[in-house]
Amino acid sequence: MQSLQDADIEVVYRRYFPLIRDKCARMLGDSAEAQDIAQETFMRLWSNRASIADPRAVIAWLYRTSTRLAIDNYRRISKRGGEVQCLDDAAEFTLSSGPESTVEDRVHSRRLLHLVADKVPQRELEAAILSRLDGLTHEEIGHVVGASGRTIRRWLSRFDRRLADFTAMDKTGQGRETGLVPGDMTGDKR
Amino acid sequence: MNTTSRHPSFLELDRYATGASRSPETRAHLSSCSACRRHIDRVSGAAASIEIPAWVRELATSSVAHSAVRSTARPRWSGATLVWSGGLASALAAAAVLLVVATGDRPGEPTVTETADRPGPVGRDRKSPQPGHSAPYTGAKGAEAVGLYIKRAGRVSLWDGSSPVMPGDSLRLKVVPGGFTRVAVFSPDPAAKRSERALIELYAGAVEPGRGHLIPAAWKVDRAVGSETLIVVLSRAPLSPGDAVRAIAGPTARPGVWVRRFVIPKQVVEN
Repeated sequence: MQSLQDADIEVVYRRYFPLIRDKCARMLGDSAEAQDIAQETFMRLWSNRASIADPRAVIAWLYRTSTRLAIDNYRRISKRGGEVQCLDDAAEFTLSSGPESTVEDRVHSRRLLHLVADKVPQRELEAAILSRLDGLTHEEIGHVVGASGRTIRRWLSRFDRRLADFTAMDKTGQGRETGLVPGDMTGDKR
Repeated sequence: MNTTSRHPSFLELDRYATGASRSPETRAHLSSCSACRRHIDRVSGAAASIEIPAWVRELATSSVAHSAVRSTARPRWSGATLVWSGGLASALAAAAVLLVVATGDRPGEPTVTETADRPGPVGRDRKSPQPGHSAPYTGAKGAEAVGLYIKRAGRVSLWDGSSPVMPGDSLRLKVVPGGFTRVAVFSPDPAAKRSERALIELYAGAVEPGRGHLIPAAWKVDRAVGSETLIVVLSRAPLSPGDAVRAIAGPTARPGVWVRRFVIPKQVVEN
């Protein structure tokens, strides 16, 4: 494969932008935000092309960058308030997984991510998106974010516990009124 | 808990679609899984048919290190730097014939630094027949000029010189540099203690004289109370924030630089 450094921007755009757009749509739906973040991700790719020497690493770089930009977006919306729809009462607090998930699964997952975005540490949210929306294995996530598969397993376990806490608090009506702070968010620094 | 999916991940599928993976397992899976094949087809098909938007071409012609934008603290602007296309392209095309933009200071001409950091319309030029008039200046093609575009709820419009922006709006600039070869965009640093005029560099890069340049960075308006200020400086050599401070500090812009200050009122609605 040709390295990014030597490639024409139109070739790079044709090769990577469709999958960036697809990835952003999984995280943010068919929205203006998804389009903005896809464009921002591509711009960053182009700006940083000199530092991505191995063309095989490009996709992992794109997944990491777009996921982090999407998390920023979730948190901005969460702080603004008012745009996040509540989950259906019957909905489970779980995220859908991988290529086999349905559109409804993903809509539900995006709402859930909006709800918990500012209550969950960045790296757990990142791992959860890569695992549950993109279907990555622990090892693949580790490769994307620069951690071991074992660490990813631990982050995802904590994320699941926080969702369980969120579920319990939501059912009692506490979560949205009291500024939810489930779990221990200070003692899990790497 | 690992994923229990028997499908390859989207990461693996995307690697396969772009030729970065030739995994026999993935190939075997694709031969029997229509859902994964659809993803590959969608990504590959789009790659073949996708049109190259204007912002990509702008990016190609810009020699700016985009990362420099993010390496600088931007306390008045929230979130990531964003860009957009779509309606902007047509808006820019329309602007090419008759530039309806804010024009800047030339050495020896009236300056706009008197409006520094005050909310209100841009370019309250002393030559203006109606000081404070909110209509933007109409200039001839070929002169230095800057247009400020606002994206709100997916729609892009040229700023009218007076309407307030709102949190969440994205701002973007188009520059016609005249004979200048460099453009830099600054914002006052509210945390600066040594000088009220201290600036933060939001963007800097080369421009080609005589043609319009869509700045490949944009900024999202935050919820902080007060106006937003963008200072666009055209020059013939790179300017540091300190150089820019000195260049715009006097009553008139220094020779060799051209300055336009946008003071944009902001409407913050409390929830």
